[in-house]
Formats: sequence, structure tokens, C-alpha cells
Amino acid sequence: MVTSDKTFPDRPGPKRVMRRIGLWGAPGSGKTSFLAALNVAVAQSRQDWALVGVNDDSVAFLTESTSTLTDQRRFPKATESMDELSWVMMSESEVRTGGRWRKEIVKVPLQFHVDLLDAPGDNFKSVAKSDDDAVTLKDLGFDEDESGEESQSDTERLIDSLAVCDGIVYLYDPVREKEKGDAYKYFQGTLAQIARRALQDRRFDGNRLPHHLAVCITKFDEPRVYETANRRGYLTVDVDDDHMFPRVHEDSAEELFEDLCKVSPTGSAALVRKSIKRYFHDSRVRYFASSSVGFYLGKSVRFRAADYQNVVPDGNGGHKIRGAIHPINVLEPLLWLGQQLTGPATH
Amino acid sequence: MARRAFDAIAAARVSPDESGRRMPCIRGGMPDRGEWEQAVLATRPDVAPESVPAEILHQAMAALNGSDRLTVIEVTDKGIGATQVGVGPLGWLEVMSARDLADWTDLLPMLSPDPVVRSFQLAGGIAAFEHEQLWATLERALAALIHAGRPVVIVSTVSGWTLPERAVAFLARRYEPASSVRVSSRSLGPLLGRLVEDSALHQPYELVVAAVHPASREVMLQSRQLFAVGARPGDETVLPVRCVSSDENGTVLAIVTWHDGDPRLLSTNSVKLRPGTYRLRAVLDGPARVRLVEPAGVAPDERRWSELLSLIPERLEPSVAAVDLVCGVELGGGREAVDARLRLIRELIKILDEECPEPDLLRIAILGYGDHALDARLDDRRVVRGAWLAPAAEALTTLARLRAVEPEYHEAAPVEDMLYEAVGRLVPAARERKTVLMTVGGRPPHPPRTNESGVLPCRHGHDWDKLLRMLERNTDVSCIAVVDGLNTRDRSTWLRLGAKALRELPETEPRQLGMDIGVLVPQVQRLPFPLLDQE
Repeated sequence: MVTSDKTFPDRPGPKRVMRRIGLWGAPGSGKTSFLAALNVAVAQSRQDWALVGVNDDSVAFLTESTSTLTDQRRFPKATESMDELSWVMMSESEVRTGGRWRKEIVKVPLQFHVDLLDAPGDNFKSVAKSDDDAVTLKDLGFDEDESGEESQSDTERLIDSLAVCDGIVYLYDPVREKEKGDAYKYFQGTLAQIARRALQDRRFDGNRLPHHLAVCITKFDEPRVYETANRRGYLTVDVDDDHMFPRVHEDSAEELFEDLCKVSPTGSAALVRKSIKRYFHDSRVRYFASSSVGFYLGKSVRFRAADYQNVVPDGNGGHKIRGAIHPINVLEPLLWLGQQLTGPATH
Repeated sequence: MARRAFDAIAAARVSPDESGRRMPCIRGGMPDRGEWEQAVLATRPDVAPESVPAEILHQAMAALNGSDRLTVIEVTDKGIGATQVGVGPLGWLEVMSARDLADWTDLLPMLSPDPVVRSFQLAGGIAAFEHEQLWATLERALAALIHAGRPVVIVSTVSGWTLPERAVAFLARRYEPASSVRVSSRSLGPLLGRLVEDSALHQPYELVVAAVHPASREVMLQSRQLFAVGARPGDETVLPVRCVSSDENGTVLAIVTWHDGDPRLLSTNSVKLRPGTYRLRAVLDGPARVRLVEPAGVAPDERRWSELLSLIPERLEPSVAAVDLVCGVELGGGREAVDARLRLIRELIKILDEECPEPDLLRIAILGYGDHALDARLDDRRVVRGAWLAPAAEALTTLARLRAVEPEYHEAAPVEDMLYEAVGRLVPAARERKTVLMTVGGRPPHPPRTNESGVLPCRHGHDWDKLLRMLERNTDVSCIAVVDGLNTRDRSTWLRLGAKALRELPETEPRQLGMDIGVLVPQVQRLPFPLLDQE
């Protein structure tokens, strides 16, 4: 989870309101890699960001996962336990201050207190017996998890964390979805639990959940995802980007999500999108096409459409990374959420 | 007195001792000792030394060839006969016909049946006969008796005797330029036998070989000389031959000599040999006796000649056509897999080389392709190694130098880099020879660009499909492929690489592969006879 601390004193200064951002996604959707890539993304950002771990686990995670990605060119192992990871992201923010006659924009220190709860993907798996069980807020019974008490405890802790957070990063893995078609299975059960908690805590905003949701379409570097975006004409280039990496325009990301939903063998991805529309305010949802490792450059300094694949099978059932890491839309979803959560906390 | 002296000379020719003086047929009574000594003195025979007829006959025999028949006419006190010596079916001299002597009484029935009186008459006691009639009868009888060939040597053992001398003179005229010689020995038989036995080879001994017409490919039998005229027992010779596939009895080594325009089979042996070139070493032991000492394992072949001839194919398509074989072989994918690929190619080349009747018909290129590094920044290795078209022996050497590489990437191999090398050399050159591009590997080529297959593109941007199309459009190169194992994903790719033939390596026999791809002829053509080695 990510928290942002912002206060609005009379004079500009660090905000102190706790904001929480939860990470959500099916197993293999790239949660661990996403977090590991965050440090690289911060370092490569043109903005003056710093990411500092607040405890030993977080420092170790940051160091090890970054090393695994950049030095060993491998993906960090999937999370196997509930590790509480926490960083502080520090930068400055421009804030409008003063009264009617003394308006001015001043730079204020901005500290995102980032608490990431990196949880195993299985904890997000639906506990409902069928899809129908979770399509409404009624009948939100919480079935016993077959995995036992300990797992149940982890799951509840995760649900608790997600339920009380203000923003959620939802990682949607289109490759996994095409192969397994289980996105909705992992989505709807947890959503039902979050909704139940929000209902209990009277946090509903009208008939929608109060959370901001950043939907990250992961593995943008994967040829099937990239080529889909390319064929649909969703690609654009940031002229300020030295490497001229393609990106999916923010206006097109949702359409890309829709297109990718259509290739789901079970059609469950379409249900995910329907649920997002049903339970979240449209204005609080944004789609991103993300990649933890980015595109392969090789000897070139600019992106080459002929040879961009950066992740390849290692021959042992795993994957390895060919070249340097250039995360795409890893930092941006967190920043967007942080910017959206500048108001009072909702809990 | 004069008649007694005349008859005494004839008697002295028959018997110069006392028995001659006492011969009752001497007219006028027995001559006294003085008269007899004069008669004996007058009949001293003019005979040549023993060596003269031997030399004459030796020279006449040495000059004999093919159809010549040396006729040796023997004139004795018993009668006249002819013996012929010629080159026999075995290429050696032999006594062709040895007729019994015709008795003088057969020739001249008017002669006395009494041998003593007859000898007296032959020696000159012919006063009782009408001479002209006697000569005419003698010449008619000789003409009917003697049918000599050429050359003719007349040997008389009764020098000075009137009737035999008359016969010799007649025969010398009849068979001019016959040689005539007078000897004292009674019989020529032992001398002729010894001369025949000591003679040399008179017809070449030759090995039966097959020859293939370069255009029609028709198979013809020919013979090549092993031993020339004049060869003698103990002589040795060497002839290089090339064997192609034969049947289970092996290659037939048949020795012939030509006689009267026809080949005469002297011996038939066979030896089991793999196709290839061999040195045939033979020793002449005697008439019809040739010992084949190399190659080892030669054994008599009991099959009939007609049976051997029936085994000869009407045409012999070359086991290996004039072909350029370009072998692209993947060097990645594990040492075991690489070894299996290299082994297949090595065995194929050996078979092709062994069965190729003409060594320069086969040229082979070896292009081993390794691996692309995952990260181009780290890759300065040569992807394709090997050598362009070269004789089989050089190709085998190149093949032996190839080593397995450890691939970083397992989804594709740089087949396209190999194709780039091959196509770049094959397309510009006019292809007058059959050309086969054989790809042996496990992984498909890299695509030219990243695509949804997720297979990394060629780091050089080579497009294998475009290269193949270029090859197909500009040449008639046959593409064959041997893949470690076919899977659904790569099937269509390998079908393109193996448009002419696609096989899976574990089930691929090199010989079958050679036949499948058209390098070896579809049916095994067996030729029981050796071919002449061209070298």
C-alpha cells in the first residue's frame, strides 16, 4: 500500500494526511516486478524524486529486487509472504496559496509515505463459488478459505488493507488472461470483500466505492500486447523521451484494455471491466499500459520496432531480461494516485 | 658298272654301313669295297647343326599372332607330315594339330611295300620308274596332303634323298618364303614341345570392366590390359579400379583374352568390396593362370558368364549426380543434439563420396551456425562458420572442426544467417550443377522483426523467408531439412526449409536421406563389374 502525507497548513509545508494505496493483481501479473521496477523508474525520472526505505525489509527489498532486475537481468521471485514494505517518496509540489487578493503558487515539500503491502497473488483470488455470487453487493458471504487459518488470516489482513486504502493499483496481466482467463476469478471475490468492508464502514460514496483506481495493463513490452496497441493505433511517443519509447496515450489506454478483454478465452476480463465501471467512479479510474522492464534497446539509443522484446524464455521455464531496464508507467500510476489523493483522507 | 655305282649311292644314303653294300636291290651285284667307299663318300649328308632349326622355329613362333599358324612340315624316311603351332584360346602358343605322317606308300603307291626296298627307292633307286610320272604323282599327293598356314618351316631328316628332296623343293616353292632346313634328328616333337612351353604370352590378358557412356549412361563392357604380349610367368601388374554397389557376391574380377575377335574367359573371381577405388595387383602364373593378390579376399566365382552378364543394368545412373550440397547445421541445442546432426552429415558425405563414380562430381559446403547473443551489445561472435563448396574430404575436415555452442536463447537459431551466406553465394552464380540446400537443426530461424510469436528477431535483420523466396525465384536449388523433432508451432517453417524433403533426425538414415533428396539414385543400381578408375 502507498500512503501520501499531505497537510494544508497556513504556510506551505509537508502534508500529514495519511493516504493509502493498495496493490492488486492475480498471481504472475507482475506485482513484485512492478515494485522492484519502481526504484529504477524513480531513478530514471526527470522529476526530482527520491525513494527511501523506512525499514530494513524495505531497504533490502529495494536493493535486492533492483539488483535482480538490472544486474542479474532476472525477475525477482514472486512474493511468498505478506511483507510490509514501506518507503517515503520525496519531491516538491506546486501549491496555490493565499487569499483572493494574495494568490500565489509556491513549491512545497511533498512526501509520499509509501507503504506497499506486497502480497501473494493467491490472496486476491475469489472466495466466491461462482461469478454470480459477487455481481451485487448483496449476499456477500465470506466463505472459509480452504487453504487454512493462516492463509485466511493473511487474506483478511490484505482485504483489510485494501479496503481502508484510498487508492488501488490494479495490475491486469493480458498475457495471463489470454492463456488462463482467470482475471475475474481473482478480481471479483476481493472486490466483494472490499465493498463489504466499505459498506460496513459507511465509506460508500453514493453507490460507488470511494477508492481511486489505477488499472495497469502490464507487460506492455510483450509482443502480443505491443502489437495489439500498434495495430489499433494507440501508440504515441513522448518527444522528450531520448529513447523515443512508444507509449499508449492515456486517452487510449482504456480502449486498449477493452480490446485486450476481447481476446480473453473465458470472457472474464470483460466482467472485470464491467465491475470496475459498476463499483468505481469513472473520474477516479485511469488506465495505464505499463511495463516493468520496458523495451529492448540493444546497441541503439532509440526504440527499434524491429527488435524491442526485452523478456525472453531462459530455457528452464523462467524468463530473463535481454538488456537494460526502462520501466514504463510504473511510477506514473502512483504519482497520479498521489495527485488525486490530495484531499482529506476518506477514513 | 654305272648302274651299280648309281644304285650304290642310293643304298649308301639309306645305310652307309655293310648292310647297305649288301642291299640286294643294287643292280649289277654287290659293289666291292672301293666302289662302296666312293658311294658313301658321295652321300655325305649336308645337315645343319641342332641349334639351327631351334632358332628358326623360335623366331617363327615369336612372330606369331592371333590367327597365324606356324606349319612345320616334317619330311622323313617314313613319310611326310605337318604340325601347326598357333596362339591358342588361352593366349599362349600351343600345338594346334599334329597329324600323323603320311606314309610314302600313301603318297606314291608305286613304291615298294618292302621298307628296305622303299627306302632304297626314296634315296634314289628309282631307275625302274618313269620319272616324270613319279614327280607328278608326288606333287599331287603333297598338294592334297599339306594345307599349311603361315609361316612354313620345312624340316627334312633325310637330307639328300632323292624323293624327299624333291618333296622339299616342291613344298618350298609352294609355300614360298618357307624356310627349309635339313637335320639329322629323327623327330621334331621334343623340340617343338620345348619351344612352345618356353614361349611368352601371345595375346594380352585383360580385366573385364564396365564403362558408362557419359551422355546416354548406357553400360558397356570393356576390357583393360593386365598383361601385354610378351609377358612371362612371374610378371606382375597393377590396375586401379573403382567399384560401385554390387550384389551380395561382390565385384566380379574376370580375366579374358581376345581370340579370333571374341573374348575368351580365362578366369572369374569375385571380391566383396565397399564402393570405392582400389588397386588391383595381379601376377601372371602361366597360361590362363592369373593370381589376384590385391585387394584381399578374392575368391573363385562359380557363376556362369551369362548369369553375370544378365546382372548388368542397361543404364547406370550416377550414384551421385554432379551436385553441390550446401549443408547448414545448427551448432546449438546441446552437445548430444549437435553431435547427432554432425554425425548424420558426416555419414551422408561419406556415402556420397564412396558411391560417386567420379570424384569431382561432388562438392560440399559446410555452414555451421551458432547462436545470437541475447543482448546485441555483447555479441561480436561469428554466427556462421565453415567453408564453401569443396571436395568431400575437405568438407569432412571442415565438419570435424565445428564445435557445439551453448545457446543463450532456446526459441530460435540463426538459420537466417546461414541462409544469408548460402543464398548470397548461390544466387549470383550460374547453377549448372544440381544444388541442394540441406538445413539440419533443431530450432526455427529468427523472424526478421519482433512479432506476436514472441520469438526474438534476427539481430542482423535477415529475413529467412525472403531469402528462401529469393533462392526459389532465381535458382532451382532443392531445399531439404532435417529437424531434431517437429512441433506444431514450427512445422510450417520447417516445411518451407524442407520444401523438397523434411525429415526428423532420429528416424533419418543417411543413405535414405541421400536417396530422398535425389543425390543418390532412387533405386539401388548394382553393377557386378568394376569401373575403370579415372585417375
